[in-house]
Amino acid sequence: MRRTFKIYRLMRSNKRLRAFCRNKLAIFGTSVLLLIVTMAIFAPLIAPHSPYEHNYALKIHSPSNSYIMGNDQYGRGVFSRIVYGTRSVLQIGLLTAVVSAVVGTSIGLVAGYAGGTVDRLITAGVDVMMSFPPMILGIMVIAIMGVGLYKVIWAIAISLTPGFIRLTRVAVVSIKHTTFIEASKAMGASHIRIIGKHVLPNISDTILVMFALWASKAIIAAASLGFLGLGVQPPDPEWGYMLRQGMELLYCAPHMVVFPGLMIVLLILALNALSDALRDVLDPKTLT
Amino acid sequence: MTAAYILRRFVSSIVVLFTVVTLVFFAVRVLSGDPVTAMLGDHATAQAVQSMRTRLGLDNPMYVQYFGYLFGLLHGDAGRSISGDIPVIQSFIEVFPFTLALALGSIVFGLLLSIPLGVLAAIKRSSLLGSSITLLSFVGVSIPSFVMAVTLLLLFGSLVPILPVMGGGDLSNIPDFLRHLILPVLSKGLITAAVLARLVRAKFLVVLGEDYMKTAAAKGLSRSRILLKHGLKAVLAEISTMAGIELAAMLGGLVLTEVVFTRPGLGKLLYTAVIERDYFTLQGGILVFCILVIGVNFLADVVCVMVDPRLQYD
Repeated sequence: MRRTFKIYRLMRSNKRLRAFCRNKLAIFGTSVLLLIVTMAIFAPLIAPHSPYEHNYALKIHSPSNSYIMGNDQYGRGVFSRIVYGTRSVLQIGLLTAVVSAVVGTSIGLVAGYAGGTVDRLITAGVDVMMSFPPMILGIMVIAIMGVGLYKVIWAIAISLTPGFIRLTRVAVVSIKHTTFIEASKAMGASHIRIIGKHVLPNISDTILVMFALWASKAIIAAASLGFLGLGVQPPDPEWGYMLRQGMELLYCAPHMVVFPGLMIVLLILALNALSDALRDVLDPKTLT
Repeated sequence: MTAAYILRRFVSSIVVLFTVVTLVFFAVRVLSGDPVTAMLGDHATAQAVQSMRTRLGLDNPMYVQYFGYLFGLLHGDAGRSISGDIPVIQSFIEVFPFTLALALGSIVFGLLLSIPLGVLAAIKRSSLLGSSITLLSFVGVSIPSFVMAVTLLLLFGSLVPILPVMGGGDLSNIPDFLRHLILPVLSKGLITAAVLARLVRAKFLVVLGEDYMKTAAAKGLSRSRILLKHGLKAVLAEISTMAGIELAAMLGGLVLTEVVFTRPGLGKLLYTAVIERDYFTLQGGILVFCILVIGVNFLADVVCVMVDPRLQYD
C-alpha cells in the first residue's frame, strides 16, 4: 500500500515537472533567472572592466564598442556595474525570501494550527505590523539601524514577513478542519506528526509560489531603498542607486537610466513569471 | 448587525493604532541610540548636547517622555521638527493635499482603467485582445513605481515636453495643480491599473462560470445586461476590498514617486526627515502613514459590508 502510494506520488510530481517544463512562463522565468545567476557567479569573467575602475576621459560617454552600455559620471562601465550588481540583488532577493519563508511559515503554522489565544495574539501582532506600509517600515528600520547590505536584508525581511505569516495561517486554517486531519487526530497521531506529515506537505505548494513572489517583492523593495540612497552603499554597484545617479543626468546620459531600469524590470518579470507558472502547475484549480 | 460589526472594526482599529504609536515611539527612542548625538554629530560640545536634550525633553525618564508624547498627540501636538523648529503637525497639514490628490488620483485612474480592461480580458480571454491585456497587465505589475516614474520623466522631460515634470504646482491655482498631478498619477496609476486588472480578470472568470450566469442567459437576458447586472455586481464587493488593499499598499510607494517628481508630500517629508535625522518628523511621518493605512482598511471593510452584508461573518 505504502509503496504504491510512493510510486503514485512520484508519477504525480513528474507530471507536474513535465507541465512546468511545457509552461511558457516557466521557460521564460527560468532562463532569465539562470542568465542572471550566471552573471553573478561569473561576474569577473563576464564584466569587461572593474566596476570600480574610474576612467574620467569617458565620463557619461554613450555606449561604445568597449563599453557596450556606456559609462557613468565617473567613467565606470555601466555594463560591468550591472553585472556585479546582480550579486547584491540576488543575495537580497534570496536571503529575504528565505527569512520570510522560514519565519513566516513557522509562525503562521503555529497560529493556524494552535488556534485560540495563540492565534489571536499572533493575528493581532500581524495586524499591527501590516498597518505599516512595507516601504515605510523598511525606511524606518534603515533609519534606526543604519545602511548596509545586511541591514537592508533585515529591513526588507521585517517588512515582508507579516504578509507571509498571514497567508500561511490562512492556508493552514483552510485544511485544519478537513476529514483526513481529523482522522489522523482520531488515530492518535501527535501534533508534530500531523504538522510534519499532513499540514506542511499540503501547504508546501502555496509556500513555494509565495517564495518566488516574495523574492520579487524583496528585489523591488531593495531597488527602491537603493534608489533612495538607503540601500547598498556606493561605491558598491546596486541597480536602484545606479538609476538614481542616472536620474540626475537624465537628459544628457539616458543610458545610465535605461539599462539598470531594464534589468530591474527583467528580473522582476522573470520572478513573477515563475511564481505564476508554479501556481498554474501546482494548483490546477486556478488554471482558468 | 452591520452597525455592530462596524463598531467592532472601529474599536479594533483604535487598538491597533495605539499599539503602533507605542511601537514607533519605543523603536525610535530605544533602538536608534542617542538622537541628539545623531543630529548634532560626534563633534558637538557636551554643553550643546545637554541644552538640546533639555529642550527636547530627552533627559526625562522614558515613561515621562512616552506619556508626554501621547498627551501631546491627543492634543494635536506631535513635537517640533529639529531643523526648522516648525510644529510637525503643521508641516504635515501643509503637504497633505498633495499626497491625498496623488493617492486618490492614482486609485481612481487605476479603477477606471482596470475594471473595463479586466472584464474585457475575462470575456475575450481566448482572443488576441484578451491575451494582450493579460500580457500587458503582467508586465505592468512587474515595473517598480520608481522605474515607471523615471521613464515618464525621460519621456515627457525631453521628447514631449508638454507637461511639468517637477514640483507639485500651486494649490490655489487649480489648473496648475492638476497639470502637475498628471505625470505622478500616471506613474502610480498605470501600475495600480495593472495589479487591479489582473484581479478583476481572475474574479470575473470565476463569476462567468457560476450557475446564476447560465440561468440569466437561459432566461433570455441580453449579454450586456447579464455581464453588467449579474457579473459586475458580484465582483464589486471584492473590487472595493482590493482597491482598499491596493490603496494602502500604494501609500508607502508614494515616497519614491514624490522624490522622483520632487513633489511636496508626506513621503517626501518623511524621506527628508530620514536624511536629516529629524526624529520627531520621522516619528510623526510614520504615524501619519499608519493612520492612513488603518483608516483605508477600515473604510474598505465598511464599504465591503455595505455592498455585501454576508462578508461580515468571515
